[in-house]
Amino acid sequence: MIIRCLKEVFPKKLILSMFIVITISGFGCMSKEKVIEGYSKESFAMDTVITQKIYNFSQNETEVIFDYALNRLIDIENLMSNKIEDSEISNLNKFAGTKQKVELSMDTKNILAYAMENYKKTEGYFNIGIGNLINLWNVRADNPQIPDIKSISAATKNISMDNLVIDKKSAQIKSSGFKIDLGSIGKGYACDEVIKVYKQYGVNSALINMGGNVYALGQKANGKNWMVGVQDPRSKTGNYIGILEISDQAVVTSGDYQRYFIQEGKRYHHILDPYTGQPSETGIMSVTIVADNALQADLLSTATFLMGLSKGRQLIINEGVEGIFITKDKKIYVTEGLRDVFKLNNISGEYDYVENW
Amino acid sequence: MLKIGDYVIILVIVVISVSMGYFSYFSNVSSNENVQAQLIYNGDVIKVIDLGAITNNEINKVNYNEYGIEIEARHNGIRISDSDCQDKLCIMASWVDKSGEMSICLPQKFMIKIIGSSLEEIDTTAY
Repeated sequence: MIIRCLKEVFPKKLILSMFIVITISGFGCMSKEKVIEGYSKESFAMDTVITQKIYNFSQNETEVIFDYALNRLIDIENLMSNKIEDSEISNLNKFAGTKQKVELSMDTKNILAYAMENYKKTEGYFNIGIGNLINLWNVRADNPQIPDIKSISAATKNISMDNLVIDKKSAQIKSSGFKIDLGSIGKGYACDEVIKVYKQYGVNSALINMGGNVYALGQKANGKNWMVGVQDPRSKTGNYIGILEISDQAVVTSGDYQRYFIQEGKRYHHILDPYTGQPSETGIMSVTIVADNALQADLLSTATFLMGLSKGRQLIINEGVEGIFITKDKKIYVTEGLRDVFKLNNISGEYDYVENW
Repeated sequence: MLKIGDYVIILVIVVISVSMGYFSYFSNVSSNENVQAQLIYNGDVIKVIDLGAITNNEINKVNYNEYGIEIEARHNGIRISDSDCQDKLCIMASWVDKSGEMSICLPQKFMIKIIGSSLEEIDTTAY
């Protein structure tokens, strides 16, 4: 009945034209996606910039959660930073080589135990005991210099993990040659702890970026996965070589571009090889690890960088995580599990994507 | 057969939908071109600069003495041009101009962040 009435008022062709026009304009509207914005906050802690984004909560609630998360980070920094004079790690280092034991919090104990556990798995490449070597190179100094060979050799003696002894509530370091620096896993640990805070508050959609270490919780408010850019190792911070589509995963990159100095045309970066005492030279510019937690991703990004493409790949296969290796000859190697979720954004055409390796 | 009134109705609908499409398309494009920079001190946004509004060949130097930072802003680009920090890494870093790019001075707890439209392709960058 209604159709017949319509037909009488509007001829067939007119209805068809209207239908086409409405359909076209309708699609036009649909392509414009409704974006529900969360709240974000930038803070300075752990010697870096921290960006938190939380979705689906009110502004007031979000601010409370941001503050709790930030306080948790600062607590961890106060326990683990060797730049803070009375941190647990600084105390451990201070008493290195004496028989003095230092009482530890659960946080510090957990991270030290995790580092010890991974020392063997990484053939000793991942070593938190190279604090003396890191201080010697001091890549972040105002005017960094290449240390002399003798000092390098001295700083790589007695760095075996056997020097660290952990018991129930305390730890001690047996040799003064072994000084702990948690720069290679501290941010990963802290990142996971922030996610725990979020979950306690019932947050199910959030993103944290701690100086490049990313964890993406759940999915975006629009139900889609998070899109995380992977830094182009020879471009400005924020320029990405590809995009990873992830959910409930951490993405952590170790690269020779993060902290370095150039002397006589040679790049001296901050990822130091415990065996040579020199910045690692395995032909890698960056390794990005995708794992279920940021601590593991942080540790494995450093370890695989040091171990090189072939050994590094084997390690991450054994550990059941995924990775992207970018080598100095501008090749991008992506592990199998990431091939469907990594989209190359090779605008300059500088890089070669290696499919089978 | 269509009558003249029908043609008028069709014309009106076509004009309305085309203009709607035009405006929705061009409002997106212009928001992409409209590059904005957030100046952030210790986590708080202290100023937002519309870099698209700066004309070509013009460079604006602004001193933020209270933060120990000087910035230079030009059409669709911005950088830290001076800082009280010791390492001066922030000054060595070049201009930032694309959405998501950042220029950071850690010692001064100061950063510039380029913000884009909601059509941004990525949510963050692992670096």
